[in-house]
Amino acid sequence: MLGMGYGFITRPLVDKLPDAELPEARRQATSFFNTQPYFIPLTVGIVERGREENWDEAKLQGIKQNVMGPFGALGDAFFWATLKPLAAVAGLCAAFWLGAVWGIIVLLVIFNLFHLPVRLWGVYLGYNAFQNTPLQLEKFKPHTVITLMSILLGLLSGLILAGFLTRTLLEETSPIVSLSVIWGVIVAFVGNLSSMPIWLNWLMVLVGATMIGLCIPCVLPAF
Amino acid sequence: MSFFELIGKAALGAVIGGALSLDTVAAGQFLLSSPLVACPLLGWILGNPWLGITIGMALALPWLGTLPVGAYTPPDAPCAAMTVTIASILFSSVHPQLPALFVASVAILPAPLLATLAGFGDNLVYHCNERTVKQAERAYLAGNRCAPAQAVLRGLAGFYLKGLGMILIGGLLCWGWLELVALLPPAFYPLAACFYFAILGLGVGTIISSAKRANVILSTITGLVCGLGLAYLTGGVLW
Repeated sequence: MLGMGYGFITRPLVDKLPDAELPEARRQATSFFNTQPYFIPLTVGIVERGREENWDEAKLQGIKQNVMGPFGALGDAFFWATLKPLAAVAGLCAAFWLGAVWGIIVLLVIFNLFHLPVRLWGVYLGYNAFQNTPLQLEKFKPHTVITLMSILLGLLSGLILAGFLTRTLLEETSPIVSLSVIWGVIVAFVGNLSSMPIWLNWLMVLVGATMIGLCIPCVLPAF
Repeated sequence: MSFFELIGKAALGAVIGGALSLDTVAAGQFLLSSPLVACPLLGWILGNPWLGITIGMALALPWLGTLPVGAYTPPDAPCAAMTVTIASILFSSVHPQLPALFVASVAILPAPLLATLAGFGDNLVYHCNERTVKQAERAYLAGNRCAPAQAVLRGLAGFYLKGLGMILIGGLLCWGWLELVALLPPAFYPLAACFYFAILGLGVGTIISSAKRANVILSTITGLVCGLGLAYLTGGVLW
């Protein structure tokens, strides 16, 4: 469907072509295409600039296929693996300490502050930079940005973990609840290391939390 | 709450939830479908924001480690979160005597199952879309200028119907589960807090462990120490 979406957004440009070129251009526009969705405008800019430079359809198809892999890898690493968790953790921190409305605002602002410019400005960057687009992208030092964001993600994760350990939503604090938080973190690490399915993580959390809730008060009556 | 009011609210929740679920893959992708956004919104609309926020916070993180890379279709966590939210809010309005945190905690238990089912739903829509795309390609090459737009709209309709159906079917499953758990004696209610906070810990742990970077682990430890120190200094600590 991503290929058809590409065909949909380039349709006004393709329709301007002479009738003789239309079938091949339409085939190229709707051909298989799979990359990170936010980088599609960038690809459109590059390909349409190529069309203006009178590249033939085979060459345009080649550049389209060549950029989708690197853009997909960069986009997945930046948007899905770094920015989305960062926005979610920052939103969770805001919701926990400031209230749900702030949680929603912080999450949406952080994510869309980065993703909207890439989508809106991508087509201009791709069109203007054309074959130099990778060099232009490199100027933003994406790997440094990802590293800095990862550090921020870790800091916020640590802070929210401290928040969970020291407070509860009900304004009731209890070591049993804090132990449950620690158990949840342990299960996540074990699950990730052993590639456990998430339902098994859930089950381990349920069993562990029940055991903590049932056993600790018996073992340590002072609690 | 009357029966018709309940059905009306369920239908309203499903219609809005279906629209929000489009944001996951099909349209927009502004993170409006993130549990932290969609669940409080549904909570406000259905009249119980506290439950929406509580469920949204718990389900915001655990699935963020699974990435929609390549052809892999991850479980549809946003759809599951919205289903759980709608079911628990309506259930809570019918059974107001049950503690809200207990309802929220037991309602999130079937979330992995619902997310997996919604993921299968996504695969089904992708399968249908493949046929739509092939038909649209043929029509476009034959000269139908509107074929891509029609295909995109059909794809959107497919995803909307999937979200709507998933919320209705999943909501019924979740309701049945909640009715079953409501039979537990009140002695079990305090355990719900343990499970709820363990899921919050699981979410944060998933984010840290799936990053697989030493700097994330180190900065998490730094953040944890700073947070605990700050809580201690400000008197926020503890037990």
